[in-house]
Amino acid sequence: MARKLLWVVAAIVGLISIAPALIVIPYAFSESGFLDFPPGWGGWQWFEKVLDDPTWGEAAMRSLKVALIATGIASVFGTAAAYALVRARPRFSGMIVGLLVLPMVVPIIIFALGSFALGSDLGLVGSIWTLAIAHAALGLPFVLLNVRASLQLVDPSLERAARSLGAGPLSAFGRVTLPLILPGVLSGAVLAFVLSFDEPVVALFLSQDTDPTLPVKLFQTIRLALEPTVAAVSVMLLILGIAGAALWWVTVRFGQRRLRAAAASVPEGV
Amino acid sequence: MSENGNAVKPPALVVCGLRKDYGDDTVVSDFDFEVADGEFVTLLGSSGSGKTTTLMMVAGLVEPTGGTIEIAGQPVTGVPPQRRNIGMMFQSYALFPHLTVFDNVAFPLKRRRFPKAEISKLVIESLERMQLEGFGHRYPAQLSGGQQQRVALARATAYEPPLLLMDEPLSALDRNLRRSLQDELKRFHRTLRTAILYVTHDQEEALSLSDRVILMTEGRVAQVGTPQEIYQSPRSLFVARFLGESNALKGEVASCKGGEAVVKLRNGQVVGGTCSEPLPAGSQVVVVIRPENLMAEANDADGDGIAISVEEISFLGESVRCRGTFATSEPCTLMVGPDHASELSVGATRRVRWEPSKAVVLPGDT
Repeated sequence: MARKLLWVVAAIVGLISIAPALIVIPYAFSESGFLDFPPGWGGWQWFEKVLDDPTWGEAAMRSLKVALIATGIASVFGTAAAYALVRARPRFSGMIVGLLVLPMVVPIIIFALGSFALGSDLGLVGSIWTLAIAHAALGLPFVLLNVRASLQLVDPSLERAARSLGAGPLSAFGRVTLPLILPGVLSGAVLAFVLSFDEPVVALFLSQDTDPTLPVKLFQTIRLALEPTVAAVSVMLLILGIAGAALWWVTVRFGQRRLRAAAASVPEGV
Repeated sequence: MSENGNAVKPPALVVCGLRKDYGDDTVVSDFDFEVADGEFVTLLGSSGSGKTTTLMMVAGLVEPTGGTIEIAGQPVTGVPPQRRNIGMMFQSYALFPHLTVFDNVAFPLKRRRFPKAEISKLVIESLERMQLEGFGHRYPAQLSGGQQQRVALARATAYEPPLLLMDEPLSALDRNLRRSLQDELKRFHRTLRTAILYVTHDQEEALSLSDRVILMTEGRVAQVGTPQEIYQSPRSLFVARFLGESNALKGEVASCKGGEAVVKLRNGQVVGGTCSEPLPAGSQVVVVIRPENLMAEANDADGDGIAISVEEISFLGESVRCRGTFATSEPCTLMVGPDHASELSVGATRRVRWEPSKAVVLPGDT
């Protein structure tokens, strides 16, 4: 009985969490030009419209570029920061982590406003690099925390062993430590990528109306007219998102196997 | 550490005036020592004695505050670790878990840019020498502790470094495994004759493995010598206490001549022992005797030796250990063969004697 009840609760919670994402699917195939209910069957016309309109493709490319740059920056600096924090154990390392994780905690609108203020003072608003750097700051905590967790499981004497065996400091890191923490770096990077790719608030503040990123373009379109094109784009993103989640799941699985193997290498007996 | 007979090779390691400060903390100071070619030298000490710091400075992983280091005749002060051409073994071996056994052993050869064919030849040879044929494709996690040690040795010796450094490689293992791996290390050292600098806090390990032991305390040398020398002729109370058990009897020097001292104990009795330096009459000393060098006899009033009261007897298999109190009311431990155990019984009073040559008289009163 209690078990059945748990199933019902779980089903309701599950439904509520995915319903808003799923509800757009029928609208993407809507018959009329408005988001009417019931949507009816209008075939693939809205998808065709999206694909015919180059501004959607441009927005998607822009988002992809920003996300890739942001992911690159967040991965390199997040990994470097995690390495310094775990290996060198500086004083106040707890405070440093707190500071670096701050973008995760600060309300996004405040962060966006701050980036805008800073960006416009420096005359940098409108460049995809500015947006990418702001997104990198948002993504860095995910890389930092993931890499820190995997780094803590790697025996520091491995790197010393590599040094004694003839590897320089960079080579020792690249050939020994990095392969072992790679799952952490990758899953942090995937999170940072997703975060940047569908982030609208900071992007709204830091991009120009004429060349928006994809989430900004979606927002602009919704404000103008509730056309089913928005639903069609959402469906495409949904598919992309599921693919991304699958990728993330695979890296995590892969990572667990790696780390288990590393942990098991402590000798147990003859 | 015998001469090998061939052309004079420079010592594998010469350390001169080595010093390390961390802020106001001096971890190692005025440290001089040598490891001859092919010699097995152990740095023995408790944690905080500076032994690991010394090893790390030899490896180049910690920078010394002062002093010089020479490896195989080459000064290496300021040279980064990857160019010191040393082999190193770490606690739990530090094998690379993401690389196969073959790639682990090939790692130092690849870093030295050996040609490919040479690498696989050397790796295969090295694995054969360690009786690891056919293990090349396995991962470290799939090996037993003993096999892992052999992989670590193969990896650290594939490029034939003149000096091997070992940082407590066995200390994380259980007792039985440790014993068998010690035997294997000894065999390895006998066949390869690579100079080894070994660090441990385990005195038994140090005594059983080394040609020479350097006992360290508080960043300084307490005593250097063969295991026998250091065990049988400790030069300070610290050394006597650090290595194995010992009995300590306080007293003052009655006379001292030609390396033999006569000491008046607290109960007025007079006993003999050896001393390495002349001791002024009347100075405070401690007579140190190993438990196995005490001989127990019946308590005849006219015999020489000191009375003890027996308080506890434990049978240890190959020997019997007896705890008691000397007539000077200082604690007493003796070890006797099981055949002599019948002469001891709890509560009895016995007399113990020793050969003066087996007792060491050391200055000091603590």
